[in-house]
Amino acid sequence: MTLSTASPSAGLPQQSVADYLVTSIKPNIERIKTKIAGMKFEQRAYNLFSYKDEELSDISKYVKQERASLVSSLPHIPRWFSVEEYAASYAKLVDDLMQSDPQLRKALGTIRKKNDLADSEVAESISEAFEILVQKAMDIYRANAELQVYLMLQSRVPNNYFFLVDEARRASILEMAILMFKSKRLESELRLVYKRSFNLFRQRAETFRNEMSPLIVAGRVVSDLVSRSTLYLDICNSTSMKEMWKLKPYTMENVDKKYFDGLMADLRLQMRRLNEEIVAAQEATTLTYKNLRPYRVFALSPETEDFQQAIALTVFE
Amino acid sequence: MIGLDTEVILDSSVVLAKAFGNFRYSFKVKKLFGDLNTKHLNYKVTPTIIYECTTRFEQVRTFVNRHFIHLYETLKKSESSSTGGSQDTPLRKSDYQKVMNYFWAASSDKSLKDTEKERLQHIETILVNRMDTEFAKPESPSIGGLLVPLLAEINTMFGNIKIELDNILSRSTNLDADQSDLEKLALEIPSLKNKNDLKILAEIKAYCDVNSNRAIWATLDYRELIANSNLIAAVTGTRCCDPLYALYNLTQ
Repeated sequence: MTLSTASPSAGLPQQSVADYLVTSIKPNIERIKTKIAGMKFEQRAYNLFSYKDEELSDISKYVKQERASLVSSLPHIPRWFSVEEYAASYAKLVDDLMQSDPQLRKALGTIRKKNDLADSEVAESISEAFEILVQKAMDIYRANAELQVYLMLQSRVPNNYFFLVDEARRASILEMAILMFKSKRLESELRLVYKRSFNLFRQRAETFRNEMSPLIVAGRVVSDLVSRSTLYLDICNSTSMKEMWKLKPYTMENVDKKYFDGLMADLRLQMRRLNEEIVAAQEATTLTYKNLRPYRVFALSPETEDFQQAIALTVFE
Repeated sequence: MIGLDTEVILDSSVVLAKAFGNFRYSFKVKKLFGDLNTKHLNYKVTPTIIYECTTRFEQVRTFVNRHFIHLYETLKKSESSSTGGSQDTPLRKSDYQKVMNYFWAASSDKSLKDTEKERLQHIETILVNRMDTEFAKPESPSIGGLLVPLLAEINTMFGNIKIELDNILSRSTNLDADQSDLEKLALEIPSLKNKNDLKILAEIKAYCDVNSNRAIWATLDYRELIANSNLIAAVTGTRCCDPLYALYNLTQ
């Protein structure tokens, strides 16, 4: 593991593809009207899905817009930082990810071209794309587990940042798995009802949208907060655009502590909401614990399983 | 016939035993969740139970990580004169002595609770086991090569536990305790010393009042809660019971 070869934002491009994918579902934000600790959740959700009524843009354009809006939400941007260069470099990472997977590219192409959830081919492409993304997310999570620990050991930022980002990644994997199972079910339902009734056909797609909207919105808010905190730490710990993409230990030296603590508190709060939506979506879709177990419990070595058992005995006082 | 107006409230002891997979209580906890599942019964947790569980989880995770970070610093620092003290610093046989000294010093801290001392022993055991494995390999081990993969796996374990914990804790009663109820309960059940237990009882009461139902509080706390079960039931209408008897109590 060398300091200069990996990006600390590893895993984020694949998350951006997932964000693009959930945007294509056009979640029903009007139904989600909650206020958490005085914060306007609905307004934020609107901002994140501001393209929902328009034609679904090309992924590269979407990613660039999304990154620019992320940068503009930060409290301080140093002079050396170029939004255009950053957005273009990030879009290139997403493009590389798409180029490496023709099946994912094809699925997203179909979704964009037809742009209608009530089309069984679109539902099939959505479930295919989630299947690929959830697998990639798990592979990246495993591949980067050591990188994250290495960064934590070297950095001088509160450990809670690493723990919260880790929890958000795990929750995102579970969210993608639920959307994968549910869109698979929608696809088979659409194929079954197609010949019977066109109205029923539309109704099924609308039920899917309504059932999944709270989960999608909560997941998107968490993903935005993770991107924002990672980008903020990257900017605060860099002095040039080139340095932005290098793995480097984080310090709190140039960080606005009040802003960062606020981000972490917000992330903690929104994670709670996402967890509630994950459970609610599981129940609404009657997904069993067994269905989701591979996405919930990652395999451990026998030695670590023994350690867990031993630690479990020390939890009670 | 199970009363539809009765809900099971899970105590933090039950939630933590389930999330951590504590084998000492696994039979009991498994039976409780099995009963809830087969009978399609709902369970809830109160805000104080959520607070207790998340705080305890954070304490354990932070404790383990903090000692790994300190160990990393200790081992790295002691070699800094020759190699600059990076994560690639080679691990030497003499590091066994440093590890032993570290845990000896850490365990001697008088402010540590017995459970924390036990936890330290478990960290020491997994670490020394891994050192043995590393030294058995043909290539020479490094400090980073020893600690980074081990802590990564341990944090994956904590990730597994946290996701399970969040799953259980997402069913909140979402109602805070009424201050007057709390004061009344403290007077009526003086044998209950833990303030959080009183707060949970008041939260359960608030929840039952709003939903016009009654509750059973499944707990593994035999000393305080189950020992005072009759008095608690007489005062609040909430029965505290061992998870094994939750189903039985639901039918009463």
